Amino acid sequence: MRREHPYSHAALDTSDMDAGRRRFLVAAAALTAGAATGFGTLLTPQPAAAFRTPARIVIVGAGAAGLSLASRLASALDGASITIVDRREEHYYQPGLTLVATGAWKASRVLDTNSRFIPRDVEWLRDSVVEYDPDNNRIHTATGQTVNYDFLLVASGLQLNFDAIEGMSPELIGSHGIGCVYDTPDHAERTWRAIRAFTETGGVGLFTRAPGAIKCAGAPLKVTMLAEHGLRTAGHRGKAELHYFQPGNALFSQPGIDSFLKQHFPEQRDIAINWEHQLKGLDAARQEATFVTAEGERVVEYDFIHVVPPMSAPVSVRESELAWQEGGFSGWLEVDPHTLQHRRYPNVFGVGDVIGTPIGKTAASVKAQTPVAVANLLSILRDRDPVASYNGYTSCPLITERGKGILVEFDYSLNMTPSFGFIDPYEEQWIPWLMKDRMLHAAYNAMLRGRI
Amino acid sequence: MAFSAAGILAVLFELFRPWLLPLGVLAAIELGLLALIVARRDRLRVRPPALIAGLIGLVAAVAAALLLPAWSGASMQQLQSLLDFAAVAGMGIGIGVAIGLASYPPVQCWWILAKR
Repeated sequence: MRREHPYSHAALDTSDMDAGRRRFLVAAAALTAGAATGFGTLLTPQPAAAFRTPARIVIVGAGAAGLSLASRLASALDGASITIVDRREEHYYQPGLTLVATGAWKASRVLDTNSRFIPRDVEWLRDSVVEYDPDNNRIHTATGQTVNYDFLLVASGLQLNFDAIEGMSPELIGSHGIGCVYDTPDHAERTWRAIRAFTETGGVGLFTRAPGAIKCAGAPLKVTMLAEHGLRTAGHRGKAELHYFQPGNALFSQPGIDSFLKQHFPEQRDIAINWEHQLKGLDAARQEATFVTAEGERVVEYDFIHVVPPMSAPVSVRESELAWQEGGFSGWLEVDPHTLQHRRYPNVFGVGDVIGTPIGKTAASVKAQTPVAVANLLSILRDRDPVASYNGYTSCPLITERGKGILVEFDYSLNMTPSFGFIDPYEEQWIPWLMKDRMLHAAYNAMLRGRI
Repeated sequence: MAFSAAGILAVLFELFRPWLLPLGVLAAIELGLLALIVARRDRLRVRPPALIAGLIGLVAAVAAALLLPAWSGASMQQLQSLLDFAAVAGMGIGIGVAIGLASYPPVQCWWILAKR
């Protein structure tokens, strides 16, 4: 019979514990090494390594599309000369502007700097393009420089044409009951001042939408619904009369959401929809808006108006050979809607708001477009055909009130393409709001770093 | 649009980027405490500190689940679907487990020191 020493159990424990400590130390070392490599590559852009080429690549624009392109190309190419052209130092998280304009966020949450996202091995030319010369593979800048390229990626974004509305200028935003969510955190913050005053006083609120292609086409709808919710929250909904003015006959390009909104606005939110009304002019002092309708001009007095100016490609693109010369996309960058390669200049690609495609002027579109443009550029560098294809994916977390929204995702076919099958794309829920409020900015930053 | 596991990790990494330094410091403290526990293994009693840490985690889970909607600027009344409630519960459990695990090393150390 085996006799156990009184401390044998303890001795056995100690032995196990030594083994455990060894395992613990090995695991800790492995974790530390993993952290050093894995987190290191997540923290900083990847070194250029993949495909060696002496190509001169110029990216115009350091917005969401330009930065994302720069990050991906810097990772994918070795030896290439990559230049990004943009005079702006600051970077705005534009998908957050609706939340700033409706008081859910402070403006500081959407402010960032381009320098934080431009990879080390990408040259940043702080300048702006005034002329494209695609026949000679060069661009001219505002400071008189000429930059030659082998490949050009146009990601210049679009411009807001406030002067297309008589009596309107960006300086008016925040005064005379005028708001505009678009373009800058300053505009959004001043819009919040106007909306906040309106939610206190009530009165007549007008919400407009420009004709033609605009970026984040859901923004005018979101501002309308968030303002209405603000009035309800303040207990002043009964003091306000709200009108939405739509230039056409649809509120949203995706048919299911269009049907939802056409019922939701008048029946659930008491917001009157005025079809085929295009904002022509403003008299800020008298607080009157003039609309062009099928029956002629209509003047409406207001206490608050949300102005959405017509948008176009920047003049430098619009007046260049790179633009569509005719048709529905006239003036926008002429690219194949799937390969994103220019239809007449094969060494030119376009990504983001500037391109003339049926849909796709959102940050979510940029996330889907950038890998396609980069993959096709790499194919050309390897003397292969560009086969990567963009399907028109776009997404809009349609915020219906502070705390609820609908996650809408669709493509060129206008069919819903939900990323997460368990989130109903036709139901108002908290989850889409949580994503918009807390998650999507992180996804956006990951996109700028070329991680997604 | 499909998200890869690496893509989701990258998004989570960006989400926590502002807190990486404090989280790193916390992780270092936790590792130090674990090393201390291993060094004082002769006084190790796992069950009572684990129960205390579990209780802390449970309280944290309930508190997190209750506060999550408000943290996002929403209210409990705005939770609409089963998915919303499942998400709140899931995130509460996740936070509770994380806080429970993080609280074990200091509780264990306190227990060892208190029972000297």
